[in-house]
Amino acid sequence: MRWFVFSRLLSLLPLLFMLSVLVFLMLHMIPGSAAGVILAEAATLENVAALERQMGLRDPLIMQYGRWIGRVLQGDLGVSLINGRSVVATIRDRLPVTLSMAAGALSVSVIIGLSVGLLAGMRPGSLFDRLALAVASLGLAIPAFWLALLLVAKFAVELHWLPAVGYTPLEKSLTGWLRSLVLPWLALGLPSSAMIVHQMRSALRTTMQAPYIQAARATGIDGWALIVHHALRNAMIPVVTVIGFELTHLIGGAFIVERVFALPGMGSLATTAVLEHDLPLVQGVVLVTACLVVFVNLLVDLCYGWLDPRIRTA
Amino acid sequence: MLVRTGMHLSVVLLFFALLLAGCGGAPVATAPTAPAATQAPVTPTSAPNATAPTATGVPTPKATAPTATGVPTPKATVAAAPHGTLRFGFLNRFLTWDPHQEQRPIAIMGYQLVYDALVNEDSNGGIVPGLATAWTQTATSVEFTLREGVVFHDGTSFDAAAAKANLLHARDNGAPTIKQQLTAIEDVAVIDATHIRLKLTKPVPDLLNNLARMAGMMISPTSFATAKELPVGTGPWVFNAAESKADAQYVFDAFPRFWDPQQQQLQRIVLLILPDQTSALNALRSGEIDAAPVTNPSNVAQLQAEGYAILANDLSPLGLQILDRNGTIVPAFADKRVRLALSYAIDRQTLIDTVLSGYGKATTQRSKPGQYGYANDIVDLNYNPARARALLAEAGVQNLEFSIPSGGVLPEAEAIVGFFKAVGVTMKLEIVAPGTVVQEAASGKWPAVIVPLSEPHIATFIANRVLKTGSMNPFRIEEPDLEALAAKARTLPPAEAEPLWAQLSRETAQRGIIVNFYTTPSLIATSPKVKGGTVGYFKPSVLELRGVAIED
Repeated sequence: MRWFVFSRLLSLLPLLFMLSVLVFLMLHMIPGSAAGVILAEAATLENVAALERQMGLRDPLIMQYGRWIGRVLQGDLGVSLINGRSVVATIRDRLPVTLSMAAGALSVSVIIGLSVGLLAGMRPGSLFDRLALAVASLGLAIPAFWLALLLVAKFAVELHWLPAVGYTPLEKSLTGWLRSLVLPWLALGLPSSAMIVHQMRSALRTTMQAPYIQAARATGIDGWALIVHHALRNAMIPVVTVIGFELTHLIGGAFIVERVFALPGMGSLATTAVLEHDLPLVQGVVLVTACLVVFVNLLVDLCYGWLDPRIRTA
Repeated sequence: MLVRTGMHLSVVLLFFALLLAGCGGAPVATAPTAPAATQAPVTPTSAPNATAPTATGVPTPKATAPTATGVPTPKATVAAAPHGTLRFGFLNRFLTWDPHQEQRPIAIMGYQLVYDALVNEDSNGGIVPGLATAWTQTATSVEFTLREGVVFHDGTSFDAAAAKANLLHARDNGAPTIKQQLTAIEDVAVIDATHIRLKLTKPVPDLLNNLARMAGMMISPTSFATAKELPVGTGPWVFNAAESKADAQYVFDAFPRFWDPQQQQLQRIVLLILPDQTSALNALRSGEIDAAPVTNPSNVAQLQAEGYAILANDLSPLGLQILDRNGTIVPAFADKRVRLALSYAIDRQTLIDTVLSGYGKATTQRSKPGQYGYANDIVDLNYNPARARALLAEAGVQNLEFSIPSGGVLPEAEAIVGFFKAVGVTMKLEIVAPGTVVQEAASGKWPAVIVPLSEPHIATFIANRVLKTGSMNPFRIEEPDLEALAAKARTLPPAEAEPLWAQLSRETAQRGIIVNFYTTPSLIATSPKVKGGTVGYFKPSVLELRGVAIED
C-alpha cells in the first residue's frame, strides 16, 4: 500500500511540471502586465517599462520560469507581484474557505445523491423513480452559479434568513460559519447530487439483475438486507468514480460560486491573480489545486481497494 | 490511475485556460469609472474646528453646493460619542496600507479612516484644512501651520518633525507617482513645533491637491517600515488587525484620542471586499452592508424606489483627445476645423440619457462651473451636426476615417462612433488589452483616444495633455502661445493664475485638442440608516465617512 501511494505521488511530479509550464506560458499570452495594474492611472509607457524592468518581467521567459521553479524546488512559492505578500501565506488563508465549501457541498451531494438514487434504484419505474429522474435531469442542466443567484435572491435578499455575502471563520463562530456556507453548499451540492442520483440508480438497477443477487434472493434474502449486504457494495464502485469526478468539479465550481457569495477562497484568489497578471500567485494556486485533484484521485483509488478485494490483491 | 489523474488535471488546466481566456477581455482591477450625476445629500465633512487658511496664494474653494434630487435628505447629525457600525461594500482591493506606496485614488476609501493628510479637498476640489490649519504659498515655497494636540494611534505626537519625516519619506521612498508629485520639494525646514516650510525647486500649482491625497498622508514615523501591513496614522479610526482579514474585510474602531470628535460619529467601520456590483447590491438589500458603490447608473432608479439614498459627485470628464493634431497619422487632424467638427457631432445629452441613464452632465471643457480653472467665456461647442458637416466641407475633408484604441466594446464608444458616422466620419475601435489604453495612447501609434481626463488639477491636465513634454502628448506637439501661458500661470499665486488656467482650458476646447463629452459620476447607495456622507472629489467610489452617522 505504501508503494502504491508513493508511486502515485511520484507520478504527480511530471504532471505538475507540465501544468506549471503551460500556465506560465498561457499567462504570458494575455496582454498587459502586473506593472500596469500597480501603476493604475500612472501607467504610462515609461513608467510601465521601468517597473517591469525592476520586477524582472522583461527578462527572457526561460529565465523568469527558471527563477520561479528554482525557488519552488526550495519550498518557496515566492511573493505576490502586486502586494508583496507571501504566496504560501495567502493560500494558507484562502484554502480553508474553499475546502469548507467543497467538503460541505460534497456532503450535500453525496447524502442527497446516494439516498435518492438508492430509493429510485430499488423501485425502478415507480412514481418516485420517475420523479427523481426528472428532478435529477433538471439538476444536471442547472449551472451552480445560477442556482447560487436564485438562492441569494430568495433566502438572503427577500427572506433575510441567510447572508448574501461574506465568510465567518469556524474558529470565530460555529453558527456564523454554518450560516455563511449553507447557501454555497446548496448551490454547489444540489447540481452535483443530480449526477450521483443518476449513477446510483443506474448502478443499483444493473447490480440487482446480476446472477449472484438472483441467487441471494433464491435463498430468501430480500429487501434492505439484500441491498445493504449484497448489492450496495458492488453498485458503489462506479458511484465512487463519479463522486471522485464530482469532487474535482466541486473544487472548480467553488471557484465560481465563491465569487457570487464573495467568499475569500481560492477561486476569488485565482480570478484576481489572473486579472492582475500575478504570476507567482497563479502558479501557486495551480500547484495547490493540482495537488488537491491528485489527492482526491488517490482517495478514490483507495476506496476502490476497500470496495473490491480483487483490486487490493492486484 | 495515471490516465484518470491526467484527465482530471486536464479539467483543472482547462478551467485555468478558460479563466485566462476570459480575463483577456475582462477589466483589470482598476477603479470603476461610473458615469454621471445625480446630486447628493451632503453633510460637510471638512474639519469643523479648522481655522480658515491664511489666504495668501490659496485657491479659494468655490462652493457649488450639490442639490438633492429625489433622494432622502439626511437629518443633521449630532452624536455625542461614536456609536454604531457602518459596513461598506468595497469593490476593489487594498494592495498596501502604506499610502506613500499607493497610486490608485480608490484606496483613499480605506486610508481616510486611518490617516489624516496635511490638507483636504472639498467635494469640488477646493483645498481645506487638514492637519495643517493654515498655509501660505509662493512660487518656490509653502509654509504650513500645523494643528496642535494631534497624536498618532501609537501615541507618538504629530508635530513639525513628524510632518517633515513624512514628506521626505514619501518623496524619497514613495511609489513612482508619489515621488513625481513631490520631486520639486528640495527641503523641508522645521521652523518650530507647529510650522514647516517646504522649499521648492520649481513652482508646483497642484502641490496642495497632491498633499490632500496619498502623498500628504501622515504615517507615524515609528511605523514607516510596517505601514504596509499595519497602518498607524492620526485619523479617526484605528486599524483593527485582529478582526481584519486580507482581501475579505477590514475593521476600524474609533480612536479615543482623535483631535475632532465631531468627525467621528461611528464606533466601528467595516470595509467588506466584494467582487462585483451584483454581490454589493445583494449585500445591501439583505442588510449586510449599509453602503456600496453603484457602478452601473441603470440601477439607481430601482435603488431609490426601494428607499436607498444615492450620494453622487461629478468626476473627471470623458473626452476624445486628438493626439495627432499635427496630422502625422491622420493629415486631416492638422486642421482645427476638422477637430471642432467632431465636437459639434456629439449629442451629449442623448449620450448621457442612453449610456448613463441620465446621470451625467454634458460639458465642453475640463472644469466644472465654479471650479478652479473654469472658463465661462467658451464658445458654443455643443451638438450641431449641420455645423459639423459645414466645417468638414470647409476643410475639404470627405470620408474621414481613423482608429482609436479601446479597452473593450464600450457602449459610450459605440454611441460616439454612431454620432460621427452621422456626419460622415468613420471612427474604428481597435480592441486593446484592458487597462492598457493609456499606455497605447501614449505610444504614438494612435491619432486619438477616448479617455477620462482624470487629473485633479487643471495645471496637471494641461501639463500632461497639451504641453510639449506631456506624457499624453506622444507627438510632442508644441503650441508656443500655450506653452508661454502655462509657464506664466505656474509662477503666479493661485488666485492670479486662475484666469490663465481658465484661458488654457478654453483654448484646449476651442482648438479641438480635446473634445469633452460629459462628467462621469461617482454614485454610492446608502441605506436609510446612514446619515450624511459625501462622495470624494475625483476619487471614484470613495464615500467620505467623516461626520457620517448611523442609526441603531
